[in-house]
Amino acid sequence: MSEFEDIEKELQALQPKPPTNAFTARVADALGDSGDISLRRVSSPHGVKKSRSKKLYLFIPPVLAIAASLVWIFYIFPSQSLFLPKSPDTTIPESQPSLSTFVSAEDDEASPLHGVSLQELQAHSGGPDQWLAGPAGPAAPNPPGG
Amino acid sequence: MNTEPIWKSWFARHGAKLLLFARQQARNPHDAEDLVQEAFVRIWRLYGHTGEVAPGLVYRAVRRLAIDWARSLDRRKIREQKVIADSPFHESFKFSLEQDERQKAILAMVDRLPPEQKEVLTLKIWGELTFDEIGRTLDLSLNTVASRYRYALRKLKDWLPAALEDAPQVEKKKES
Repeated sequence: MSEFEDIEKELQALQPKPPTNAFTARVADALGDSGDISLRRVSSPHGVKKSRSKKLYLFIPPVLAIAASLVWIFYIFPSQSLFLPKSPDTTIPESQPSLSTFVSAEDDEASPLHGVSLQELQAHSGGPDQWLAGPAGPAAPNPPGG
Repeated sequence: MNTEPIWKSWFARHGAKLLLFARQQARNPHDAEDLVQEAFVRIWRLYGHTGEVAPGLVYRAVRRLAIDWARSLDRRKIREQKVIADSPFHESFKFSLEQDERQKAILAMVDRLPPEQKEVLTLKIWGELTFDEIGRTLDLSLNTVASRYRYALRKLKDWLPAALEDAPQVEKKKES
C-alpha cells in the first residue's frame, strides 16, 4: 500500500466541516434526557473518588451500631461465654466435704489411711469410735490371728 | 466541575465524519443532517450509558436509515414529482487559503469516483474505520472493501496530475 501513501496523506489532510451549532442543538433536543443520563454515569476520575468516599461514609453508622451492641452484650453478660458451648458442671456441692479436709500434712501412724489422721477419719467415717480407737476401747475386736 | 454531556465531545469528534458519510447516502445536506441525527439518537439511547459508542455502529445505522428513507422518498417522489438538487462534495470540507485549489481538485476527483468506491474511501480516510468495520457497515466482504479502496486510490493517483494541470486553467477562465 506504500504506492498510495502520498495520496492517502493528502486526503487525510482534508478536514470535513464540523457540524453547525444549530445542528448540534437539534441533536441535543432530540436526545433529551438520554444525553443527561450519560453525563451522570460517566464522570471524571475526581468525581469517582468522591463517590467512593461517600460510599465509605455510608458504612460507618452500621459498623458503629454493631460495635456498640457487642459492647453492650459483653457488659450485660460478662461472665458467660455466649459463643462457646457450655462445659459440664464441675463445681463441688458445699454439703460435701472437700478433699482438702481429708488430707493432712502430717502422717498419723495410727491411721490406716496415709495422709489422713485418725481423728479426721473418725469424724467423717460414721463408724463406731471404738473400732477406730483400738485396744483402749471396751469392745475392741480381736486382732486377726490372735 | 465539567458539566458538558459526554455525547457532545463524542459528537464533536465524529459528527463531521458522520455528516460527510451521510451526504453520500442522502439526496441533499438537509436529509444528511436528519439521517445523522436520527441514527445518532437511536444508537446513543441504546448504548450511550456506557459512555462510549463505537462509531461503526452509527455509520451502520446511517446507512440502514438511508436505505429505508430512500425507499419512502422514491414513493413520495413519484407522488410529488419533487426535484432534488445535489451539492458538490467539496462543500463538505473546510479549506486553507494557500492550498485551496489543490484541495478542491482532489475533492473533485473524489466526487468523480463511482459511489461504491467513494463511500469506502470516505469511511476509510475520514471515518477512520478498519476494513473489517467498513465491511460490516456496508454489508460487504473484506476483500471487496479492500479492492474498492485500492481501485479508488489508483484512480485518484492516475487522475491527480491532469486534475492539477486543469485546475489553474479553470480558475483563470473564471477570472477572465
